[in-house]
Amino acid sequence: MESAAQVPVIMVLESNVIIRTELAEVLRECGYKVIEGTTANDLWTVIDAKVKLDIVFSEVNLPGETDGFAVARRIRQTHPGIDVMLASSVEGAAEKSKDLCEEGPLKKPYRAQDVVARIRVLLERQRSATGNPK
Amino acid sequence: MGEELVPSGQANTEAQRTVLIVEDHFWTRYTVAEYFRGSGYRVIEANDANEAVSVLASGNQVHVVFSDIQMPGSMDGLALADWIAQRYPGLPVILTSGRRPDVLPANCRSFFVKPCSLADLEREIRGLA
Repeated sequence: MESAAQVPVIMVLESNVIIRTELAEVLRECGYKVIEGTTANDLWTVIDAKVKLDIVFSEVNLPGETDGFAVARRIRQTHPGIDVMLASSVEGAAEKSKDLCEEGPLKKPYRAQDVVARIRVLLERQRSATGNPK
Repeated sequence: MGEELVPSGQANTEAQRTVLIVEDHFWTRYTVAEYFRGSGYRVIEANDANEAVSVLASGNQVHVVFSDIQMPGSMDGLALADWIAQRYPGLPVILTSGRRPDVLPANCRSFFVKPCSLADLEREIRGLA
């Protein structure tokens, strides 16, 4: 049984409450701890509070000054141990994000199962890289 | 609590009670939501009153609404409580703010001055949901 410290933590940044709630509930049912946010500022608040984060799943078009691409760039620079997954309904997002995430953003509307599948791959990669169980 | 509190025809067979938290301050919402998840509740987080309206209108089964009064957007917590009273008259609302308003909506079962004790809030919610 995983201790609380070992439970992977996913932050979901999504401004649509219905999409956010449904995805967060699926991820919780998969055993992950989920933090729900609506803007990049929510993410910075969590990071400043030194809350453990393993993956950030963010839509590209976030409300506010910072979009998902900027979130991905900043996290990669400051917290390389945190993986960022992007989701977008915008054409051309895949091209723009090719250097930020390997597989490009998930195209909206996405299936929660596809998000879970990508999360599992990323967590497995993190586990292999660090040797720590997640 | 009777099924008349269900906002739509969607039945929820789970025994888990659902609390809708409406709070624009991220850290406050996160802290309250985590506390109630830890206490066994299903928690839906809304960033403002419009999100709360979307949640209720989408058919999510909600047993109690805990809302801040002062929020950005077209509706504050008092307006949200009035909206709920018109559409879901059996759905209890708990309001919170830094200052108690002179008049509270009839469907507001209790009011908490911020910052409120989560244990006190849980006791109140347990009596409602």
